[in-house]
Amino acid sequence: MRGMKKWQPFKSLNGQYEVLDQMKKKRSEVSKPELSEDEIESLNRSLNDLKKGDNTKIVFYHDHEIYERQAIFVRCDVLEGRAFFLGLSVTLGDLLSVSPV
Amino acid sequence: MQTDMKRTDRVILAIDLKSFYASVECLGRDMDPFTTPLVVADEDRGDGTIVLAASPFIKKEYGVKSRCRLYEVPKNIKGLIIAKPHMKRYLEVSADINSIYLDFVAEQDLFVYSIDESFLDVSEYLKIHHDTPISYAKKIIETIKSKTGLTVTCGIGKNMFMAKAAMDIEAKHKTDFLASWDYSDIPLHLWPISPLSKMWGIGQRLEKRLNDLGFYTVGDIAVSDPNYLKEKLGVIGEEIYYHSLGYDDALLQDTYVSNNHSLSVGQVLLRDYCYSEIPVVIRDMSIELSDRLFTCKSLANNFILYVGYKDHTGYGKKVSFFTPTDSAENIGKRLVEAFLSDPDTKNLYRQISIVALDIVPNDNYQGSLFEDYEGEKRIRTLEQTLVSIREKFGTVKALPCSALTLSSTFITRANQIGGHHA
Repeated sequence: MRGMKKWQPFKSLNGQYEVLDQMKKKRSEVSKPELSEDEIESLNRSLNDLKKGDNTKIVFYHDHEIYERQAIFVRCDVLEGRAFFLGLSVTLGDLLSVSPV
Repeated sequence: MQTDMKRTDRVILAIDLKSFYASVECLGRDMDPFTTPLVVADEDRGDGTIVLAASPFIKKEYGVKSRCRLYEVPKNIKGLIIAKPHMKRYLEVSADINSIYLDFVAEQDLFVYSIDESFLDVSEYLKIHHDTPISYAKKIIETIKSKTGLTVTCGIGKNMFMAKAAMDIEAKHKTDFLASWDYSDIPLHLWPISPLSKMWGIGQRLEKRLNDLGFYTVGDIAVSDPNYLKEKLGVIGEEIYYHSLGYDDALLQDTYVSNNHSLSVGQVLLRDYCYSEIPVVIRDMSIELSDRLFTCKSLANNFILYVGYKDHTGYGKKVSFFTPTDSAENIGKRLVEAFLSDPDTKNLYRQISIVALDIVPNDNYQGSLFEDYEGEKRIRTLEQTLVSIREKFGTVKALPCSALTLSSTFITRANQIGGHHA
């Protein structure tokens, strides 16, 4: 028997699956988590402790999603409000946690 | 045959939105689809235009069928509403409904079959919620009703085929639009079905072939020899034998990925076109196809142009490229050449489709020694820019000049989804 082959959708309407994908993406969206005073303080401490070249695990929020990455720390620019990692820069406000690996 | 319990003893719901387009239109007017005579059709296209959907009320009281022609709808019906289709709205409502399904099941347990039909595998959820199939289905149906106002038809079965058959054959005619089948219900409900094309999987042509072999009801098939059916009709024959017994080995979670991908763009022209007007339309459609290839990040080697005459006959032409392409310019040029190579100036044309065959992903673009690389690159950059403009600001914001001619359908089609008003 042909299994799922016979149940192939008709796809008669262009754009139907795009709308569905958008809907699925929207469902997985999260709002930006609020950090508590303590969490901000510990984040600040971890950032201050980092030296250029440190291997770190970072968690940050971007475009309704939360990302977790391993990245090498480069520098923190307070004026620009961004933390720079190798091949990645994150707005300080979007950074949720930093921990050395 | 698969006797794997995992495949043949599941709880599958097949859910169909009742007269979907017509119900959405009724609800948009704060009216009840069960008491409002409404058909969805684009009146501006004349009396011969197709009726996309009809409300349950007009279907029942006046015998109007979906997919009939507008002139077949009796005009003397009191309070008749002819609603212009809003395809975009239907897509959104359909997504909302599928979002409700996802509140009940995970993504992999939902299979979207068409705009108004979905299958849900709820086997595992019943164990967690200690619920029965019918009461779980009722919860989903009630949620849809309260959140969107739409009525649905639901079939419950042990596999996808059984759920679909329960929905099509029994649920549609019940007052609560819900039917639950087990293997023991098959002889009672499925076997008397005749003509055969009422059963899912049998079309008009297959029905004729089965009739010629002496099968007139589903029961006839069920008591026959599967080897005989396989010998006469091939894999399909064996498959409908198992279907007639209520068996289906398809597992909703196994998504089937077709390996021979093709993309197509087609249209039925609104009036008769003469020979000299066709090239413009072919170029318009090449742009449409190229945009779609571009959004799927694909290229294609072979293209087919099909032109249909007024009398429903027609012919096809194949165009092959040396390297896969998605360039509207090149595709359009070659297809127009192919069309002009066979001048048939007498006939009037009514239908055009172009198909891209053997689609490959565009990440491994292979250059060729024989092409003008620099020139090619400039065209590519230009076309990519045009596609991005159209994607960001709307299709009509970057037009070919030919789109402004009388024979062009580019602008009209840009405002349509699936050939109907967006």
